[in-house]
Amino acid sequence: MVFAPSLSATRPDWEAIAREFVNALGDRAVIRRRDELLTYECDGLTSYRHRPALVVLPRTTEQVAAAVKLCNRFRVPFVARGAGTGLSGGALPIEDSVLIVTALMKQILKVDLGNQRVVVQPGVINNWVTQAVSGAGFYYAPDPSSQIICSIGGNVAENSGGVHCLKYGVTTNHVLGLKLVLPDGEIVEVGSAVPEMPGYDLTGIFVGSEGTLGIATEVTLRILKTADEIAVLLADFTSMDAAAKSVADIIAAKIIPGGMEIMDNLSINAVEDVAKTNCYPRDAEAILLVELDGLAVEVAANSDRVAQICRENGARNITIATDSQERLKLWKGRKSAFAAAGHVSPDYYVQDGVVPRGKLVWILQEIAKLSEEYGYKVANVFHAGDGNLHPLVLYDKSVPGQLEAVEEMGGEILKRCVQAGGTISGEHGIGAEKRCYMPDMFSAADLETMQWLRSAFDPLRLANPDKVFPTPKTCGEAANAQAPAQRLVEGVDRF
Amino acid sequence: MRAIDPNDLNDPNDLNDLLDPSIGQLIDRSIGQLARPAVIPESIERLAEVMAACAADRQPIVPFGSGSKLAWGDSPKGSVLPVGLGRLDRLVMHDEADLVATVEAGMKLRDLQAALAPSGQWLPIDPAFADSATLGGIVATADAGSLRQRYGGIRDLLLGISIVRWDGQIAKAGGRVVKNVAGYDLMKLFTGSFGTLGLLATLTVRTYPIPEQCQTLLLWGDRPALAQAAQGLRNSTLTPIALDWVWGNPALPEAAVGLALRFGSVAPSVAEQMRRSIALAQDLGLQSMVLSEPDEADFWHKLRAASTAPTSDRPITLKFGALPTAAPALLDRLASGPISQGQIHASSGLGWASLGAIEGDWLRTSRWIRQLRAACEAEQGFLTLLQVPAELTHQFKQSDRWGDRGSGLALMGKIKQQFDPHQLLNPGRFLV
Ligand SMILES: Cc1cc2nc3c(=O)[nH]c(=O)nc-3n(C[C@H](O)[C@H](O)[C@H](O)COP(=O)(O)OP(=O)(O)OC[C@H]3O[C@@H](n4cnc5c(N)ncnc54)[C@H](O)[C@@H]3O)c2cc1C
Ligand SMILES: Cc1cc2nc3c(=O)[nH]c(=O)nc-3n(C[C@H](O)[C@H](O)[C@H](O)COP(=O)(O)OP(=O)(O)OC[C@H]3O[C@@H](n4cnc5c(N)ncnc54)[C@H](O)[C@@H]3O)c2cc1C
Repeated sequence: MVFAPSLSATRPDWEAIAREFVNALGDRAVIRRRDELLTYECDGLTSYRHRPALVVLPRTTEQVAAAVKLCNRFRVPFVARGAGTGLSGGALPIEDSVLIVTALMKQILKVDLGNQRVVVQPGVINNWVTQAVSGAGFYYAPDPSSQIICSIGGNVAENSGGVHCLKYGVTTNHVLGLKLVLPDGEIVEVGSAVPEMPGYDLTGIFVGSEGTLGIATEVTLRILKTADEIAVLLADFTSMDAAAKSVADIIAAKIIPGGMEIMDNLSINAVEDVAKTNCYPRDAEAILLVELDGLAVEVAANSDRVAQICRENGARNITIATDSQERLKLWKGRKSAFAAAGHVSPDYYVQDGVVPRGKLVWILQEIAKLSEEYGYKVANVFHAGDGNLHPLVLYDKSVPGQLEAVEEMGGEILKRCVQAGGTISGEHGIGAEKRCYMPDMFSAADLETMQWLRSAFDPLRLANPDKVFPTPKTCGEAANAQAPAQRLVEGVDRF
Repeated sequence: MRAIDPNDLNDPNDLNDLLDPSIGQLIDRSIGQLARPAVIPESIERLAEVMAACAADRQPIVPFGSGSKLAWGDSPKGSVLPVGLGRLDRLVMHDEADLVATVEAGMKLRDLQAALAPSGQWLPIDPAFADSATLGGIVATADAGSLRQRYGGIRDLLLGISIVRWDGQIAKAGGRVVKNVAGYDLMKLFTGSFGTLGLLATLTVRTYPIPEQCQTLLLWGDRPALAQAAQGLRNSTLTPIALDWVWGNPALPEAAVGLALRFGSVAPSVAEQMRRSIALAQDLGLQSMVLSEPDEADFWHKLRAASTAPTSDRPITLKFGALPTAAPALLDRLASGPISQGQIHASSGLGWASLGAIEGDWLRTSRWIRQLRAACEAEQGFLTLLQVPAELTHQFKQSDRWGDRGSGLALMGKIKQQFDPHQLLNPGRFLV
């Protein structure tokens, strides 16, 4: 019962509630059948599962508002869900809740190239935006590796990043306005197609709020002009330190690449086993991918300098691709790293800590020590330019105790990130999973201040309660308490 | 905690010591109450004590940096205690390799830039009153400037904050790393909140390498051709760090409407971009002028001052916004109005104008401003009167100065209520 908000002592009458939802949204928008509900038991963090009482699939802002109003009437919490690819259990249903799924809200409402703005419904998939405008030479910058499956609404809620966020920023830097259904069912428009509208920056507050401040039903995005020239540089190294040092030297040389990514030996081999790109040398200790964009003269000058820096740091081979097919090929391995980890190990547990860029070498050594101490292999792929780590801890959930052990180890990694001046999440969100680490970063006063904001939006705590903020319960208890829920779905494939 | 006696905490002359005479006068003129002694704490802990004492006493306060933009927005009501941040002026941390810096909120931007310069870095903003503005005041007013074309607004540069709340408790949000999604983004909440939600105590910002070279190109001539140039430049793959519409500016012949482009990059890229822009201008039959360092930086500095600092013949300061494609029509409207100078950031559609009265007729001027506001709102924008002379205060009541805050207004009120339940922080300002 860890995720139960205990709003009322007695269980809600779900038969009666479901009838009201059918009345309001129509029969086909409401899912109640046990087998159909299975799909919605978890998000990308598959080790946590809980069956929602009811799932609704609205198509319009008004339908979302109607659903939220019903939740208010019956005092039952609701959880928004986009594509369900989140990695922190943000869309994990909680006890006796309604899951409001935006999967049918997938219209691109407006493309305004003259003003470089696009308005979409939240269920629109991230890379549809770029597809809609690329013909005219534009793109939408934030590109999570999950971009072909995750929704813009989910991106907004998590403030998602990607491999190209070093230069152009993450989701929050590209969202200008939102239409919201507030936790009381009220519809408001915040921001606009113009930045810095008078009043508090409610758009900025909402982005990254993980579904706890309401549901976004329309999103106004900024799009960018595709650069004149793009070059991807791949360098391989015989030591991780040399790769990390190259990253620091590139920044010190006043170059701000679109992105800088590192993969270690274990991830290189996992990717080569699965994606077979034949790009990444299997004996390398680390590979570094650097993407440079801008005018051709600038890209040429900067790729020379980056190549030189890599060579000075002992890079063995350097490949530079400017042709779009070649570039995609170099990126392919990196983008499929998580999937590859899933193939070389029965399970993997991914963390998302961030350290100041100068602490990269130190934190990787700490992770290596923890890996040895706990006895689990760790594949490292990370947004090196941002200091954002993604250690993939490989384990086997079917062996009792392993999940708990890797969660504990993940916690130790996060504590070290905080110790180094970093954070417990760079882009995946706190969700259900990492909230017990929030006190490592934030004082009681910090958390109370954040709750003030939440209280202004959601005094009844109906919107995704029991996420983000810690409760008195410890992490260990949370993991154990989930065990019965997992048993419920034995034999069901994870995606 | 005992009640606070400002005389006890600080010498009554301190406010005058800290502020130059012109600002002292402004305070006298616009907010009479501020002519009283101010509290100007030397440490964040002391600031917290002051705030706790004010909370216990239900003593309203008005935070100020160097006091320049105190006239922006509404005047605080009642008997308020000015609380100055000017002595919290230290650079707490600059991690050169990591491109981040933490400063106390009372530090002046000018001093931060001087501290960053030896490592070839800067905080890429060009706000109003760049020489005297404090970082806390800049964040509280979300005042970025033309460089937002490349670097975004203040909100995009702020990685972490610590604040002193109304009750004297110190709280923080964000951190010092460039990617961080742990907890709510209170940095966004405080950016542009005009000191109504708490006092900014420290700020952690992204710094950037100063471009190897900067050059500026001014274009003017036939209006439709200029509009075409603006759209052509925005749709090109050129990467200016600033791209503004300007008007009334003495740098242009006859203070014409023009476009100002600033390129900053490695030298060959700047040369190439200048070459392409000049070619585009020539194709359209536009006139052009090239400015190089240090004149070009001076041009931008003066442009910003001209569109934000009030003068005797241009006492009104406006901030407005509209879809970028609406800029040419707005410029036509501005040309037919009162005497004015200003700039519109061509990609974001945000603009600044400093204007006077139409033939000394304030009523007519206020009607004209309302029409301009309606034109902005019709293009999904807004118009805020940041500074108004006494003659206009009747036409524009306080709640009318900000412009329409849309359907989110009630929610903003609830946020204010949570962060300042007794209305002690900048009372009467911004959101009533
Ligand atoms: C293989 C893989 C690779 C990934 N790579 C990256 C990466 O590179 N960078 C990155 O940042 N993330 C990455 N992720 C994580 C995930 O894809 C992102 O967090 C994504 O934004 C989630 O979108 P979604 O539509 O799946 O949201 P969901 O998982 O459905 O929901 C996520 C959160 O958003 C809330 N939410 C959803 N829709 C709305 C809405 N309309 N209004 C309010 N709240 C809403 C939910 O309540 C939940 O809290 C990856 C995931 C996978 C599986
Ligand atoms: C008429 C006039 C003309 C001027 N002309 C020029 C000029 O041409 N060139 C020039 O260089 N300077 C000029 N100045 C000086 C200029 O006022 C200051 O240099 C500068 O703007 C000070 O701004 P500030 O940061 O102190 O903000 P303030 O004006 O002190 O404050 C702005 C807002 O932010 C709030 N605030 C401030 N600090 C905090 C904080 N830490 N936490 C929370 N809220 C805060 C305040 O309450 C207020 O709402 C002029 C000033 C005036 C009055």
